[in-house]
Amino acid sequence: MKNFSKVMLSIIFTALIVGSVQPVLADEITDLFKPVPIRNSEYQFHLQVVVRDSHGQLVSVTESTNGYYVPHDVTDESFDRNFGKKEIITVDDIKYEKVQYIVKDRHYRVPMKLMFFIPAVIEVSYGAETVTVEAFIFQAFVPLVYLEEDDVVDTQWTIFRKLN
Amino acid sequence: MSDLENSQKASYAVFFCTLVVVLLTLTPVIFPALYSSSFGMFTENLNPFELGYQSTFLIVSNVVILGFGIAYYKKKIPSLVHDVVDKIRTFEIPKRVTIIALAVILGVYIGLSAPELSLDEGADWADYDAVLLPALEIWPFGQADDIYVQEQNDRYVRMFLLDVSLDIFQNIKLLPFIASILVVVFTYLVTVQFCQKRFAGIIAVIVLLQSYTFLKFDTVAVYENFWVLFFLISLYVIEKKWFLSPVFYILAFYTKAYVAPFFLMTLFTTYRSQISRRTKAAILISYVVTVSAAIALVFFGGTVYPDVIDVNYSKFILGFQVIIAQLRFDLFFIMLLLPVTVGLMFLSKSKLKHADSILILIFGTIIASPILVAFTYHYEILPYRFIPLLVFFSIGVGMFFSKKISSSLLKMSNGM
Repeated sequence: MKNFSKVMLSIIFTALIVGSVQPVLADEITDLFKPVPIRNSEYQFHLQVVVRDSHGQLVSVTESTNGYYVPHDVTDESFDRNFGKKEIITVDDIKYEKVQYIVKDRHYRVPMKLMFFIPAVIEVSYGAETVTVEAFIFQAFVPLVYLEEDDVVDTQWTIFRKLN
Repeated sequence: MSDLENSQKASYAVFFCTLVVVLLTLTPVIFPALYSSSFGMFTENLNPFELGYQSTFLIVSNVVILGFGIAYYKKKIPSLVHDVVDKIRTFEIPKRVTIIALAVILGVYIGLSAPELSLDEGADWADYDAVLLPALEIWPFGQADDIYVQEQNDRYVRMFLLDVSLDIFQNIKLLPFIASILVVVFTYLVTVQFCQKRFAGIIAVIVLLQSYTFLKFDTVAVYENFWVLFFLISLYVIEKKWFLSPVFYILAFYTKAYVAPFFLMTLFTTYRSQISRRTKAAILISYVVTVSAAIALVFFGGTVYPDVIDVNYSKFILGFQVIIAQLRFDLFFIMLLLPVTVGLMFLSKSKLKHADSILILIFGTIIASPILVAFTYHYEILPYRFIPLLVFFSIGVGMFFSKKISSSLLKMSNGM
């Protein structure tokens, strides 16, 4: 949970920089942060979801590489600043930057999950007002994960960005 | 080589294939991280041999049930217990009582599930607002940029039925619920047809209606059961009006393309059916024509399906661990899948021909999902796709109460 709070706060900070430089009309905000399929984009991710019951016993492990991302500077800046140390790896002669984002011991108050998100709280200046927007910069579509009330979920995101 | 020898070889081949996929499916109950550790990515945090929370339940229940089953088969249990089991297996109910029992069971089921018709589909299932409603708005001739929306509109029969449910009955859940009720009815009919025994049909219905997954999705419009119903009917009519079988198969196909490879199971069921060779040949030809036309339409008719092909073999094995995670609340299924598979092989040896059909149907409905995710990027494995598996598992359980095997066993025990 600690890790999660850190990233959220950092993203807010990043967003303040990004948001303050470009005033945007409110009805354009949704379009601005509209997610698009991640397939064949500059980003790729791998999500691993580990579910444990209330006694810590392993329930399931689920993986996904299918989903969406928000093609916006917010995403790029978050990737650069908020996910810790970057590694450079080469896959099929293509160089990628790789980061990991891990959320441990999360309780969800829902009976099932079909999507997992990395949220960013973004403050966007709108005239004299400041609008706070929550955008899911990365969204993974997973095989349905059933959850019991006391189940605990660990998510491990490994995100890649093509290098130039 | 005689027909009998061929038939036995086919039985063993079917049993072996089914046993392999059943073991692949159940292994993650014991070691949930095993497949990810071997075939997944970024798995440093996983212990492949960490026991799953249902591992003890699975191992203990299977040892007890298989132990009892083998002892029963080998006649190593006290004769009193053996006789009681035989009596249950040979028990039959009169037609009138069956109708009343079925009406009561369906009445209770409908009564308990009907309140779900007033639930907000969009609140429970995000795909309703995100995919299905936008697709219905442009159906039948509109085009969408979103591949998920466009894919919905390639499923003509489904969209027609959902459109009717929404426009005419003002409730998009109504026709899906009626389809689910009919799935229960056809589960009964197929069981009785395969087993020649009404009691087996009632058992199959009860097993299906205790399924968490079936009850979870029986009134959901986004993940409706129309395709399951059409496929079940296509099997049922093989011995009644065979020419309707490909018709219902094509209805199932245009409800959900996932059902496409299921025709192979239909052909095996046909092979095991008590119909003339000429009719079997006619069914084979009709399916070859139907499937060829469907494939041609998929690849040359501007559907989205050719665009979603993407091969990733590691997802095949990972698919098996997803299956059992999605059926985690179907405890009866988890507990009995392996014993039922083994038991069906023994029933097949006892000349219950359709025991093989059920084995191949269990095999096919399990393996279809791992194949789907291994060959496409577009789809994920979702629990409602296992409703046919739960139906055939239920019929498989019902088969242990079949007349043929029970009467022959009775004769044997009387003779001894």
